[in-house]
Formats: sequence, structure tokens, C-alpha cells
Amino acid sequence: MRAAWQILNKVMVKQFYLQNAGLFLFAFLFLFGIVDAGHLVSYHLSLMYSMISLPLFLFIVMLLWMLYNIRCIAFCSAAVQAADGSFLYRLRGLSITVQLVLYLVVSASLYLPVFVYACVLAKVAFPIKSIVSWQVMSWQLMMICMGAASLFIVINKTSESFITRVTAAVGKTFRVNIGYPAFLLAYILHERKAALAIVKIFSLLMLGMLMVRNADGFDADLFAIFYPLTVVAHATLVLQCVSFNETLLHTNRNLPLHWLKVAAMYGFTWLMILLPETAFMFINIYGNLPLLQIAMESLTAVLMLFLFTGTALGCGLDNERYLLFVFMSYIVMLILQKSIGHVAAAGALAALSVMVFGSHYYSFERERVK
Amino acid sequence: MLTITSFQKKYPGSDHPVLSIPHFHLDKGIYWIKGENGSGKTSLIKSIAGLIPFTGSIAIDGYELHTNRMAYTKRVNYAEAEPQYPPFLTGRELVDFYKTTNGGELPVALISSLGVEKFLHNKTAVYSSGMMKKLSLVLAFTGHPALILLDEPLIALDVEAVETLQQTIAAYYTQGVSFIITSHQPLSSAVIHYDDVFSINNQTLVKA
Repeated sequence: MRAAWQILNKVMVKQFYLQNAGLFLFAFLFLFGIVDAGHLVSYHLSLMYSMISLPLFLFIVMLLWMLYNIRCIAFCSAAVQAADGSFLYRLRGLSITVQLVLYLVVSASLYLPVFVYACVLAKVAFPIKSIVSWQVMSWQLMMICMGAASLFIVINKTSESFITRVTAAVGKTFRVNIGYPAFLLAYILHERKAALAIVKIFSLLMLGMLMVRNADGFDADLFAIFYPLTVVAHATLVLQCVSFNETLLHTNRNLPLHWLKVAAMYGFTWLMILLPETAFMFINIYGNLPLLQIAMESLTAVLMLFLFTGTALGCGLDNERYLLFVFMSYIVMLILQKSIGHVAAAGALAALSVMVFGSHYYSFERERVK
Repeated sequence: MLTITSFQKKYPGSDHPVLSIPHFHLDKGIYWIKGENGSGKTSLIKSIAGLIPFTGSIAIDGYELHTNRMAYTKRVNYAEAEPQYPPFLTGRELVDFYKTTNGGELPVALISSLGVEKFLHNKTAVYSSGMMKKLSLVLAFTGHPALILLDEPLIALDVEAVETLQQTIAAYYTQGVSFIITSHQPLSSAVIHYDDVFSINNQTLVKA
């Protein structure tokens, strides 16, 4: 049993804490870094009293604990299903009791930070409202048991579940054949979901502030400054896409594809990615901007992302140089729009972006790791 | 020894099963399963090892996988074609883990003759593909299995290691252990002695 625990500890517990070190650091700073040491205890006590007295607050906290537990379960499940984790199926050779004890220890070890905090909360709640204390502790035990049970199911799964069969049938019915032009779009939607979601939340929030919240006092100058900023936020997706195309999909270079076709693929991707912003602006226009200008702004946004694509190639995917060029492009674009007007600026941007992409596509060489 | 009943393996999004075996029985022996690339050799062997889900039933010595996992798992060991282990674990930790879960002895002679003990204390991150293969073979021979599944066992092995494997298979066979070996390359009986050959044709297992 010791050898089995050693393996589980290394594969699941240690790896979980190592891979989530950033999250724990953030949580530590959030819980202990934002108040000075003298007020730390009173700050936490007041937080705990709020949880005890406000059922909604306690419910939200319990929901967060559950999300953390789901994260733990997902991590363990991925570790078992990974190619280098398939040897863990040998745990089935142990008796069910031994397996459950092992998985309970793993689950408790992963859940430990939350469990410790919850114990303190239960201790504080006990003299005041004992029911909260019991609620919190039974929730903790349920979470730990849930973790252990899911680990048991993942390791001992040998037959196709109903859910797997239903998912397969649904997947087959709604299967979409992705053509080459949509490869990059599929990559973003499939592999960069989190980055896309963050960028979209940021850009739509900013557009919401500019066009909906300030609809009555709409300021065209502010819009001209902040809308390109929402486009600049997409620069990270551009770098990830170019990096994907030049590493995992680098065999493209061996295909008889003219650079204009590759450029069209990028253009199509950026057009689709920026579709939510375009739709948002058309829906929430409230007569503040002419329709033609919205169309022009959207076209300029696609061209800016296309310019970033050429820049990413020109920088050899070097992050620092790329970000510097992105920032400079933003400033230059602001100046151009102000001095020569939107249409002329879009024309200049189109010529520049095609020139940058065309000149760097064939001369691209990935920056060597120093 | 091995009984397969109403076996079907489908992959998500596919109408047709990649493998469909209504009934199949094997007595003690050494068997070679051959087939083209993608015919389903590895899917079959992984299903027998209990690594991938399937519908139907597989039993070894009367112990069925879905209903008696512990007894079944102890009776079947598996060495992958291209084994992978977490890079932060040492060979020694993996060997101890298999010894615990399989509830048996280590194949000391095999460890010594394959030269595995020289690198057992190293993390698998520094192992070559040949070292990984040797380690996976050692793990497959750990315990008291009734059936050992070897998926492409000769890949990445040097000449001496192949000879050692031949001798080990022969020695375990005399002790009552059965083997199912898959290979898509012609496997001469001079390389590894086998009792019978099967191939996968039209998604089912037939005698070649």
C-alpha cells in the first residue's frame, strides 16, 4: 500500500500543487496580502461572521469550494487518462477497501487547503449557530468522498457508459467537417477557449461601457481610442494562432499554397473572431454612429489583426518584440485615423498589412530559444 | 483460459464497430495476433487488459472483467507497444508499485538479464525508448499473471534483449503462463515460438 500511495502522491497530489501554484499564490495574496498584519485576524473573522449570518454568502462560498473540488477531480481524471498514466489501472489489483482508503487520502490531500479553512469557520460558527457548523463540515466530508468516489470510478471504468454512448451519438449527428480555411478558427474554439472567453468578456464589457452605458452621452473620441484597444486585446489570440500554424501545422509550408491563400485563411479567421463585436455595435448603435462607420471600424479591426499576423511572423514569434510592435501599431493607427480620416487610414492599413505579411511569410524563421 | 463473449468495440462517432467478436475461446498457449495497421489489434489487446471500455464480456480463468476486476487484473499483465510513464517517477518506484498491485514477486532474472537494474534508480525522463520498453517488459512479468499481453514486443529492443525475451517467454510458458503477442510484421516462429496465429479480418478475430 505504501508503494501505491507513493505513486498516487507523486502523480496526483504533488503534481496538482505544482501545476496550480499560481492559483494558490493568488488565493494566498487575496486572503492574507490585502490587509496589513495587524488587522488580519479581525478581517478573517469578519469574513467568517458574514458567511455565518448571510445564507447567500455561505452558499456562494460552498459553491466555490465545490468548483475547487471539481478542479481536483478533473485533474485526477486527466492524470489517469493521460498516455503516461495508463499504468494506474493496475490499482484495480488492490482490494476495493484499500483502493477507497487510498483515494480518500488523495482526495483529502488535494482538498486540504479548503478543509483547514472550513474547520476554522465551523469552530467560529459553533458557539453562535451550530447548524452552520454542521452544514459546513458535512459539505466538506461530502466533497472529499465525492473526490474519492470519482477517482474510483475513473480507475475502475471498463464498460462504455450511457453518457459516452449518448455523447458519441450526439457528436455524430452534429458532426461538422472542418475545411482547411477554418483550421485556425477550429483551433481557437477548441484549444484556446479560455483565452477567447477572457478576450471576449473584456472587449464586450468595454464596448458595453462605450455604447450602452454611455449611450445618452456617447463620446466619439473616446470610442475612437477605446475600440481599437478591444482589438489590441485580440493580439494574444493572433500570436497563439500563428504559433500553432508554424509549429503543429508547419507541414503547410510543404504544400503548394500561395501566400495569398494563407493570408485569406487568416483574414477569414479574424473576420469570424471579430463577428461578436461587429454584431454588438450594429445592435447597440442607438443612432450614435453612422452604419457605414461601424462597417469601416469592423474592417479596420480585421486589418489590424492581419497586420499583427504579419508582425508575429516578422518577430519570429518572439513575444516581447511582438507586443512592442502591437502597441506601436495601436498608437500609429490612432494618429492616422485622427489626421487622415478613417477611410484613408483603413486603406493605408490594408496596404501595410499585406506588405508586412507578404514580405515575412516566406522569410519566417522561428526565434531560437536562447 | 481466455473467453470473449459478445464483444464489441466502437469508437465515438462511428456507426460500425472496429471489432466485433461474438464468441472466442483460447486455451493455455502462446498466440500471435496479426493484422494490418488500424485493424484493431491494439484495441483488442487494450480491451483484454481492461484499459479501454467496450461492450460484452471478457473472462480469464472464469473471472470476468466487469464483475470481478481485482481477480481479473491480477491475472493479466500488459506491455504497451510504446510505453510511457510519468517523467518524474523512477523505475524503482514503478516496479514497487506493480509489485504491490500485482501481489507477487519481481522477475529478478529478467531484471538482471535485461540490465534494467542499472537504470532503475533514474527517473523515466532520461530513459531511451529501448530502456522504456525493457522496463515495461519487467513490469509485465511482475506477479503471478495467467496471461501476459505483449503489444509489438520487439520494437526498440536490441538483439541481446530479444534473446532474453525469447528465453523468458519460454520459461514462463512452462510455468503455465499464456501469452498473446500482437505484431503487424511477420513474426517467425524462430524468433518467438507460438502455438497458433490469429488475424483480424472484417472487424473480427479469425484463425489465420
